[in-house]
Amino acid sequence: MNDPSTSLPPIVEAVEVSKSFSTATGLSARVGGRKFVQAVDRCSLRVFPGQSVGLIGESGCGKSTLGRLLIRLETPTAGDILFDGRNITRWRGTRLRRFRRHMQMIFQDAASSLNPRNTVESAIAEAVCAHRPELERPRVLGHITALLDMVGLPLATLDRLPGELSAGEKQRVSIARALAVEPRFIVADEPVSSLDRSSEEQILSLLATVQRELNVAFLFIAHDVETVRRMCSLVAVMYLGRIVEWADTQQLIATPAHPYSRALMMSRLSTRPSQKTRPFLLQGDPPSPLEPPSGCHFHPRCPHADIQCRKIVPLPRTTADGRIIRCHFDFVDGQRMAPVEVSDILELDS
Amino acid sequence: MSHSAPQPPILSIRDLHVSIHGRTDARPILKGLSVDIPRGSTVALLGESGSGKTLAAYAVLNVLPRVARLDSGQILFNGADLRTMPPAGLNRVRGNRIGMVYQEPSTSLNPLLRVGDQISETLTTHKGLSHRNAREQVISLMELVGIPDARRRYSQLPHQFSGGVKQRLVIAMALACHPELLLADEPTSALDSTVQAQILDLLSRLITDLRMSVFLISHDLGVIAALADRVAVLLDGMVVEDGAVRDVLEEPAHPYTRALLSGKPRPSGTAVEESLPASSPGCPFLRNCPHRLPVCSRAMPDPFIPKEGRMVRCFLFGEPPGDAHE
Repeated sequence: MNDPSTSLPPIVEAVEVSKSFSTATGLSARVGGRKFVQAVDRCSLRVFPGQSVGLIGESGCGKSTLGRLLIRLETPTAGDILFDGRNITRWRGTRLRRFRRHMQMIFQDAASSLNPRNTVESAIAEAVCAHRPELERPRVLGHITALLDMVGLPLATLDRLPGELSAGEKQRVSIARALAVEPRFIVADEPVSSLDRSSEEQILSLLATVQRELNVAFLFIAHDVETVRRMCSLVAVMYLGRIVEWADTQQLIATPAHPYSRALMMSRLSTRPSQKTRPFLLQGDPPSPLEPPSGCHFHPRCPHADIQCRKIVPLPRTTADGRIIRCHFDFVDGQRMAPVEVSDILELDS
Repeated sequence: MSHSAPQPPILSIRDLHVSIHGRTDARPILKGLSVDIPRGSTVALLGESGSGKTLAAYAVLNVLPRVARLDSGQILFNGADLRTMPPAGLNRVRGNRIGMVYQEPSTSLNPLLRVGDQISETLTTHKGLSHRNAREQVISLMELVGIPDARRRYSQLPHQFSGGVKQRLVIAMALACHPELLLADEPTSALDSTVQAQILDLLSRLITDLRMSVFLISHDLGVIAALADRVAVLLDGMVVEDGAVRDVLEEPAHPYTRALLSGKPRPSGTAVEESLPASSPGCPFLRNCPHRLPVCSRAMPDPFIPKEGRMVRCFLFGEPPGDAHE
């Protein structure tokens, strides 16, 4: 893939990771039998130092699980997670906890990720002290002040409680807290989805500044391409546990290759009534992850699907223009070309 | 749209004032909201989160939460004021002559009841149908909103449906009694974008086919562009701009509308509450307005009608006020 910083090894890399969850535990599992949800299915992803990668997909497609796997909040059921070249897949306990300061997460709902009874100062101080226990109190305060300044909050915020802050301000506090440990990689899981339009703009430009100035690598999870396009040069599109396209952001917006990516791009609504175009409507509804369709997960809704899509799981392959897609077909201007030979797929995949 | 006929609007909200009462103080949220929904057209109320647009919808149906109070104003449905209507009369209007679709479909459905029975309840209550007759109508309604295999799915429970299909069920429920007016509060905001496109397509077909009047409440310019004929822009509890969707979204007049369209309604401020001084007499967009005049901090401009069917409240338009020059 065309990476900006090819000389450096990736800061974080997922190699064919999978994660499945059991739907039943305890007695109900023994009586009713266990079912598994394959939340993430052999996904590979790389983020280079200082780079931002977008991960988009509809709710329930497994994008948050993949984000949590990358920073080992979840343990994969298969595959490997490499951080800075080290295989951290099976790390546990103190070793993992110490290592965690290199990676942070920013959640969608800042309100629920802040303790309502702790002031902004103590929320950030906790992170600063965990990171650098040797610091004395005045130095800690100095750090906190610098962090508040970085995220654009006035000093008066220090002794406020989360309940006294607006949603955008709360998100700024959680960004400040994430930055307190000087992480090298941050997973931002829908950081602006619960904000209104103006706060969204402000938080997006704040995150872009943080990324540029502190050279932190980001995995930016969102449900649409609009929120990631400003920050991320590369973007992965996920559908029901699989990464179906991995492309340059501008390339994806201009000429989405996978039929699902195309549906996603074309379901963006124009705000200009005179340019109202009929969106590319998918058939049917998103399938249940409990009973994923056979073959290509997208085939029941795909207008181009044929027998091979129903039977054969498409493996990731690199297209002529350098993206990785999981589809049996190539498309030119939305027209399906002849199927790619299965031998080609296997060869490209290996 | 048929404006030419001098028919009265199906719904007319006039000078609506609603306030939220805390333990010690009351905060006005809607400060003289006026919107007309002409028969057969779709009118959108555009507002950011926290602007009070949902309170307007609740006020129409007289289902305001306990902390909110309707202080003054009229809500005329076919000329009759819903505010002064006795509860029994109101119950004959709600769900019957006015259908409702809310944002989150799962909160509109009872998780313990079969979905078909929930839809047929509207028909047995309002139309006095027998259960058997209602069932047949419900099945055809479910087919109308694009639910395949409706006969079998009638007996399923809400959790067996995906979010998009649940919203289709809620739409079927809203349409069951052939309402004259559909009230849709963020009907697609909880849905994923490909599903949103499907539901918008369904809604716009139904609106045309059934010649419905719709009061659409949304923050999403894309949804409004897709469905509405007219749009009223809500700022600080008042409509600051109003007109045909094409005019307002393509040639916005009010600086706030322009800022909304560019995606940066408040470049420097933070929350809505903070940028709106509680009791200042001036324009609520004052602090963030790139075009402000001295007069803007002293008074709220009167509505100016640049052309038939268009309104804007801003001193940049219309006759300059007497003391504009300083």
